[in-house]
Amino acid sequence: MESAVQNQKKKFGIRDIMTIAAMMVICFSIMMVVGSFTLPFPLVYLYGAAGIDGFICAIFFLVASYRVNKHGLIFAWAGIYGLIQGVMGYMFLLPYFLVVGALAEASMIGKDTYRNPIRTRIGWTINCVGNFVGCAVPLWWAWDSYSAMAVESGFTAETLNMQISMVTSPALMLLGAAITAILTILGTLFGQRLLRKHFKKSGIVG
Amino acid sequence: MSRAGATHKQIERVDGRTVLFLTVCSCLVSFLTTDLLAHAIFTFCLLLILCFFGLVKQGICCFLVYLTAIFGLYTEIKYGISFPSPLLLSIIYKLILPAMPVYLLFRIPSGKLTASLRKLPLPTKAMLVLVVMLRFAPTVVHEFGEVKEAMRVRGFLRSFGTVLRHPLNTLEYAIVPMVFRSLKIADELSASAIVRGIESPCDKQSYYVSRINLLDTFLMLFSAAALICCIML
Repeated sequence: MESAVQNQKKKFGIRDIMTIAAMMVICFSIMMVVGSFTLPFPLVYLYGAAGIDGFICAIFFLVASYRVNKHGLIFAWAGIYGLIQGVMGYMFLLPYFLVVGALAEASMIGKDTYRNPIRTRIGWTINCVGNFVGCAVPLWWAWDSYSAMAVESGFTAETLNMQISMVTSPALMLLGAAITAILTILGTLFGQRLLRKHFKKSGIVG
Repeated sequence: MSRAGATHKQIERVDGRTVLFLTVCSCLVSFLTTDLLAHAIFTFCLLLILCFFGLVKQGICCFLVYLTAIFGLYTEIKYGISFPSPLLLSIIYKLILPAMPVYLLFRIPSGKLTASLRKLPLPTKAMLVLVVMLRFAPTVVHEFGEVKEAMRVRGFLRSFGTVLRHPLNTLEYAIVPMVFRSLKIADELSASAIVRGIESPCDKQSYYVSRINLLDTFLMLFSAAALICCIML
């Protein structure tokens, strides 16, 4: 009987599902807005968009994480993101995001890690750096068809050259990943502050 | 019968799985086809579908935005103009196509959508996340508008300079009420779902009849054929 109750506690309930879905919808809306605003500036779009997403969305992830506090959350988060990318036409990104989700989930092994500030920071950073690297995957996968499609879609030569140099240079990829990681860590610090200041006091997160 | 009532009646004739299939086909057409004419024809067909379901105004709005983006992109490429960004226009015209069936999906009553999706070989929890996300997206847009209005009334959005000088404060004023309101809605939705017996392990029945009829068959065959044609062109 006790083990059945324990098992039930480990599974996602309806309230958890609703919380995850609500936070994810806000995150995806923000990602779309950030994408639209950074698109006119290729440098910011290529190197900074994933980091800006990571910074702003950290608070929503932290709210879900502290509220749900169950394993599988970050894997589901990355998996659903991959699924959306798949529906958008990049089906080969789904396994990639499942791997990213599994890596992020592996960083959360342990008891009550979803309420641990350092572990949530590590998990969210892995997820966001994975998102940044994920932008380069379509280019590595099929550069020829990608560049043909990009030219038809109105990509400027400047943007394309910048993309080529970014995805072919490990140093630039590392720079992008570092920018994403720094912004994401700052986002989690800001998010922790908001959690302490507003959400924990009001009792809506644990 | 009012126009909204007629639209509602028409939408109730179509199955959620059909609109979901149409959405997936639209996404694939939008991102895989390289022929602009095929893309435009598919968008026009979607306009006709929206009009058929009584969403004439919304369909025409979407199509006008689509045409404006295409025209803008064509002009910019021809004359070498770079503002607004051609990339932005390209994203707009590519996103309008899947946005049209997604709008139709939003208009299907949630009970009908849930009943339809239950027939798909999807895990119940994944299906629930999908339904909640679909129902929640318009709510988030509405809630964001309310929060923005409240911020304006209280003087937090007085000028662009103020926002730039205190970006973290502005973010905090926007995010905190947004999270509170969203969690409140999520809690109400989960309470409503629980009292309707969503956690019960037995087979669920629905008020809505979920059956693939002639209209669904036609729409599915049409979207599959259009997808194949657009990719092969």
